[in-house]
Amino acid sequence: MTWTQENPGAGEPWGIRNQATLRTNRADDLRVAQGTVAAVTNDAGSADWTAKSRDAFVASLDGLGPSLVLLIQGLDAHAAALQRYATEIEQIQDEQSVLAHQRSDAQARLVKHERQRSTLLAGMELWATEPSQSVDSARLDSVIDADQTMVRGCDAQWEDLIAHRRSADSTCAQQLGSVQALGPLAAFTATAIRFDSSTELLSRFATLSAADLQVLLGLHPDLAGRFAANPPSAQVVAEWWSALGGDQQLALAAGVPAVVGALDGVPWEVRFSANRTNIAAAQDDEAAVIAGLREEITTLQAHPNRGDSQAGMALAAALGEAVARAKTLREMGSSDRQVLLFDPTGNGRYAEVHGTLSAETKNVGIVVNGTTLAMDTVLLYDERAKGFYDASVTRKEDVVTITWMGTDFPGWDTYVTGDIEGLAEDGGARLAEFVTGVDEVVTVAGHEPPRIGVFLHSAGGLIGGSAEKIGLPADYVVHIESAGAGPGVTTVDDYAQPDKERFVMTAPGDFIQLTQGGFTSMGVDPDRLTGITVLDSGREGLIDPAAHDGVFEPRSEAWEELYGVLTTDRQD
Amino acid sequence: MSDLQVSESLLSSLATSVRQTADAIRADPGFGSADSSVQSAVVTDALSSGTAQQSARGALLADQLTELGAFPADAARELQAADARLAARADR
Repeated sequence: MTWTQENPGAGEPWGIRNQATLRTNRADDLRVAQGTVAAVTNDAGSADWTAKSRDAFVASLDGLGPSLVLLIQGLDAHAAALQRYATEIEQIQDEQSVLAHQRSDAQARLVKHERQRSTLLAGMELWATEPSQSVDSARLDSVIDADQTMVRGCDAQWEDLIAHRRSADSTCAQQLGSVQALGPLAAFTATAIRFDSSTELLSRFATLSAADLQVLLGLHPDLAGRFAANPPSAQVVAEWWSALGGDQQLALAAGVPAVVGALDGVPWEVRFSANRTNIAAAQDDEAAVIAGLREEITTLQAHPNRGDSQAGMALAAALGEAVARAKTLREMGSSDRQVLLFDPTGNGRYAEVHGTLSAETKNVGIVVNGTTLAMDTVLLYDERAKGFYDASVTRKEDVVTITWMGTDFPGWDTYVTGDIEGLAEDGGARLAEFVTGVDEVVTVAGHEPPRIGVFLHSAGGLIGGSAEKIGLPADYVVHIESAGAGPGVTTVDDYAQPDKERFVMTAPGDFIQLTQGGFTSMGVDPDRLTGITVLDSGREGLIDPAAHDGVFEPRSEAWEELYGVLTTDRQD
Repeated sequence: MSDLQVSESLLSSLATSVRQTADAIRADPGFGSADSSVQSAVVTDALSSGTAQQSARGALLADQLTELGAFPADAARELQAADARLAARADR
């Protein structure tokens, strides 16, 4: 219910004042709480407790002080804004009441005088005009003019009242959402959250404490999704992060782990830690899903007719999936994993690092797998990146490998009904940004940067090819049993860096050759790209469907060939 | 090594005070809806969004205080347990 132009004074000042009083009382209660906290701090400092644990307790209690102050100030500011608003509404109501009477009186007089003039004019026509009648008529005209001016004046004042109400509304809303009322969170208006770029939101984040960040994310749980859908560039993030103070960095990692854990350009250790928190939260969510499904199954089984068997089967299947997902999450949450990207929504987003990045790291290999890659299968595919890394440890080579699943990968149905081109292009942009982020963090001042390679398997070739169209800041790219050179790619000139070093491996018997070069949506056969180095898979069968994944069989000829590319020293 | 002195009754009293403060902050202030009094969409929106922020901030603070309130009691318990363990070892 909102006021109208006919009633700009709508509202109940006493009710608004009551809301103000409730907030003042609440602020008073909190001031009492503030006093208690101060007394506790004082008592804790007495001679009866001298220990390091006492110091830690007092420091923690002190740390909560600003939050309490902010809360009290906010309530006081809201109470003051509501009091002022009630007074303004009261003024508008008073003026409206006077004005309504004035206008009503003026209107009544106008009607009366117009009627008198009509009667007079009718008489003048009937009985011939007399001088006195002409005088009366002129006098009435002037009275009517005055009445009309009065009505118009009242209408103009009514418009002023409407403007007054609009201004009172706007001022009150501004005061309710001001920094005085809400602290730094005031900058996060609904409009800012909806329309500001993720880069602008990042700079606003830097003004918030960990507690405020938690409050913000609690009130706007979709905020993390905003960053996932439209991430700021890795360079912007890297500059932003390095400009923050240590306390702010800690606050952000603790307050918005879902955002920090996914931001390319943030140091890896910070992301690993944030993603451990994110995985733990996902584990809790999955445990709740499992408990809910078990309860539903129990309820169904308790039914005299044992319920609907189809519903029972559906529930059992859902439970099976949830249990499998919980197992996957448990494995992902294992303390020895370094998860660089984690988002369980939809098909999921995941990236895992093997090895420790240091000034001595010579090679970084990013593995982009293909069709059917999703949250429930990614750990299986991760064995490829892990296999390369494990071998590098045995062979004493300084290598870091990464499994990247930072986009939706195609399922088999995508090739029939889906938009493979759109999927590849969206994924390509994300991969390019991810590699830019890797490039940002692997560069250690004063040391030669490691050689970065992107290994594209199967449909991963389409994503990598799309990334190359935009510009992929990797030193080289390897197409492995690749579906194509990228949507619309016909020559290397379609790539941002045509002269980049490229490799290709296609086993002669892999059925993937049926797609290579046959569809514009997938691009030309990568084997045909000018300047590309052809790697030997060591497989000879002309019908060899197992070759598609078999090239990753550790220590096989194909695998050694790929490993050789991964561990090649920088030549420049 | 710094002096170590603990009064169990003090720690219990501190724990109780902090817990009670947390409860006071968590208590529903009974603001209810102001729609019918305000009769303005713009003010109602700003008030409800601001109140939601304050309420979330209050709930978070209450949770933090509850956690902190357990600390002195835990400290007392740990010290007593350590004391008992050492005493038992001396008896052997």
